[in-house]
Amino acid sequence: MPRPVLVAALVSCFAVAACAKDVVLPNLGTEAVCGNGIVETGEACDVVSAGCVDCQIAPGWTCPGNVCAPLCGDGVVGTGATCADPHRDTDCDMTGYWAVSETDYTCDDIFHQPQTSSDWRLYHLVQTGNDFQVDEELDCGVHVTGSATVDYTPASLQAVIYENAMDGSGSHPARQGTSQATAGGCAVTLDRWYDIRGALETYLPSDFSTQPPLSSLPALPSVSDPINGNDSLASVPGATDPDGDGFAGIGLQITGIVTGVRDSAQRDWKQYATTSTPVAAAALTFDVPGAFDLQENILHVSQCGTGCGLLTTGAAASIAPGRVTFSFIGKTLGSARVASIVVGLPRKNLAADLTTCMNVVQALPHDASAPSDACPQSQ
Amino acid sequence: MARAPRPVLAASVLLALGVPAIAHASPLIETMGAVGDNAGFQGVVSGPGSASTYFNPALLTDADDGLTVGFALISQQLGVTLEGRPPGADVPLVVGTRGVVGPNGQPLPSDVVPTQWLNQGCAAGSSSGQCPAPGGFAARPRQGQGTGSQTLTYLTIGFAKHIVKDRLTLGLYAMLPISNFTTAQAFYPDEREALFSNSLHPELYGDRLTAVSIVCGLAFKILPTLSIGAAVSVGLANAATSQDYVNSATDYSTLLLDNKITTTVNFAPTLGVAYSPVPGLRIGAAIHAPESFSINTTVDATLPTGIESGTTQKNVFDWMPWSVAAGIQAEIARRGDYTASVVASLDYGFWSAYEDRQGQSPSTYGPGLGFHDTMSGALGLRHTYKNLRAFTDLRYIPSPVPTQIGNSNYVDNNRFGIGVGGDILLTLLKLRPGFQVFADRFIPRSNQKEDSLITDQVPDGSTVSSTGATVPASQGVQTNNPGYPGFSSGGWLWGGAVTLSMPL
Repeated sequence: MPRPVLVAALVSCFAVAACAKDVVLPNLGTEAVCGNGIVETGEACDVVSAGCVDCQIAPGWTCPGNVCAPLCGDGVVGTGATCADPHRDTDCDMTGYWAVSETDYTCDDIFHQPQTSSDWRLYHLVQTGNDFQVDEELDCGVHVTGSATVDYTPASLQAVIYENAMDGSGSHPARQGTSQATAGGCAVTLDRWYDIRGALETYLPSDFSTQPPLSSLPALPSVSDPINGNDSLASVPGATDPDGDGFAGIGLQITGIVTGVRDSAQRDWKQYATTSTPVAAAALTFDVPGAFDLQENILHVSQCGTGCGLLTTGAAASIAPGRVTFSFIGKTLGSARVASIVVGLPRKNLAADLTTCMNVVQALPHDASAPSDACPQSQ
Repeated sequence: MARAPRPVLAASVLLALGVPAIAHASPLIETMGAVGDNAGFQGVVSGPGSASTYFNPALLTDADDGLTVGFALISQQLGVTLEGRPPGADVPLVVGTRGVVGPNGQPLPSDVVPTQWLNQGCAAGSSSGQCPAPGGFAARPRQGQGTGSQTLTYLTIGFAKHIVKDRLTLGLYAMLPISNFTTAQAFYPDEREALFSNSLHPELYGDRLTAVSIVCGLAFKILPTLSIGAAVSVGLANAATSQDYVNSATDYSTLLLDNKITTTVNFAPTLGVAYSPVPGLRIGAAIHAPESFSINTTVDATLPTGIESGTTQKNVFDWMPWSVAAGIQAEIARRGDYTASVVASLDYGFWSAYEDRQGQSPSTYGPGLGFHDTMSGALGLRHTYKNLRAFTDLRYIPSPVPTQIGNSNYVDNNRFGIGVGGDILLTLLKLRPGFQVFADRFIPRSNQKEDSLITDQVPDGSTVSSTGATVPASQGVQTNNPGYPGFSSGGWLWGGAVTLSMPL
């Protein structure tokens, strides 16, 4: 090959080579995908909320910034067509349907990291004078985040929805509270309530009003070896199997840095009261600080592979104060506002109540943040 | 047996001092071809010279005593094009709550993360849609960390020395990276890589071109027309054990570590034979044993509660198969001081036994997705005129990688290349300067995925645990596989070297 030709060939070869680079072609099509959390063309919203149905804003709702909130009507008043500055039409009167989230903190015993728990409820409250009581109630489950994520298993979610009834239909009087006008707003309290899951109610105090500490109550059912032991229901006296999975205790699904299913016996109490700072009068949503305590005995772990050992240690309640968040839905069952969340009279139809609970959870999204002192080093 | 002369010992000491943590022969030398011997791409029969130590040590008996040093360069320009993702293929944001279960009631694996996190990251914070402080989730855009383009430089050194005249010859050949010195980069060839670089990487190039390559061998002439030889590629195997005490799973700055690393030496042999039944005709053959650089990493973690957990991860780098090569060189013209020869060679590589960087066989991705054996070939001419030598070679190297229709994303292409070079003996100085260049075309290749073979990371009917609601975006295939729904690759590999040979 003549020298000039060779040189030209090499130069052109190197020039082409220098052009080689990586390319990422644009995504195909512009079809919006409802449920991916991104508001795309043709979507008015894309968020898990009762106010966002099939990625369109539901009647009576507004979803600015992809965060949905209901508009005026049925106990809610505001200014103009957009219902600006919405609030309840009666100050300090808790009567009506409420989506409620109790937020509490624990410290896991493995990494000593804060775990933030949301415990959702549907309340229908009836107020007389300064006192109110729970008239209808659904337990809509929990979601815990932190070093691990904890949820009820699907079977557990269905099992607990009617347990520990706060409406007086169980063995204890209805849960009580107070709401009264005070300087600058309303003073609100919600009295102490004890819950138990995965064990008989005999492990709770017979009279909640005496407010005994959990440590003074009979010890929860326990097993010596949650991994390999005999933990069938019959072998653990005092335990129950509400989720029907064949193991004593309530099933909790754990994901994240550890994965598996834990069946536990749990009990806790929670109570809330405003301090010197009242809540805003007629606020649609407000928080009331409070406290809680928790005990848990782990009866069985499964689906955890080689990490089962990590699931055999429970959590301890944090000293950080928790809170209950009340979010007003409306006053009248069947109104547009209430119907967008409460799809039927509670405790009449399990499927409808599960849908109601799903709406409650979506109306009050889990707040994963935790106070900096949730797990002090001295603990 | 004669004592090794001082220059040979000096070179040996020099190399010994320069032996780095990872030493391997084949991937780099095979790509570059023989440097400094006028052997081009056909070292199994052509040359001979110090590079014969690797390609066919039997040829060393016909090499001149001498030391060859050189400077080489390889530029890898392999471009990867990722196709646009179809609608509905993204893993939805709700999966990031880790509270989504599949239709079987089992939680989605923790390594399934929202696609938006990969593209845009997830800011640290406590609001809805944010990730826990302090770090959040850093963005890893698709192909943002591709490694298809890099240019590497090397020092080459080799010698041949007749220990017993006309009987026993010692040879050594080495390529030492100057830049990007000895990199071993592991990556997953499937959707798991989304959690790291979220990119596709060339499977048989990249870090394989940074391995220090050292081969030493001996040749023995058993008949005037027949020689045999043996060589070994020096390789190391590392084992790393990390004992960790995890003070906090969310603050690894408090992690306590005790690391222990052990290294063992491996030798991969090469056997060769050369036969010259008549002047101007040579037949050569060699067999190379497989070799690789393996790292076994053991992590034993202890938690504050006394719980201990451990695992061992095997990584395999620079894997090369059993290979059998044979070639023939025949003189076809002689006019005065000019001679011309034609050279042809074949190389069969048993790539079907390939182990990737994660120590797994590609066949684990399904039937028909394992690598296959290959037959490479080269054809060329050799010219000599007085003190001048020159070569021209063409080669074709088929890829062992099948079309990537499943989860795996092994990036590789068939190659067609040309190499030219020459040198001249400066009689008065007794030096032989030379040069050579090559260019290989990565023949463009396209891979289209089949949805039925792709892992659906959010199975249809998945639900949100806390509400029981069906995840609406779970219909069809959702995957973070960076190679989905397809990719193509092509480009060039080119390089060259300048050399200087001198008598020992």
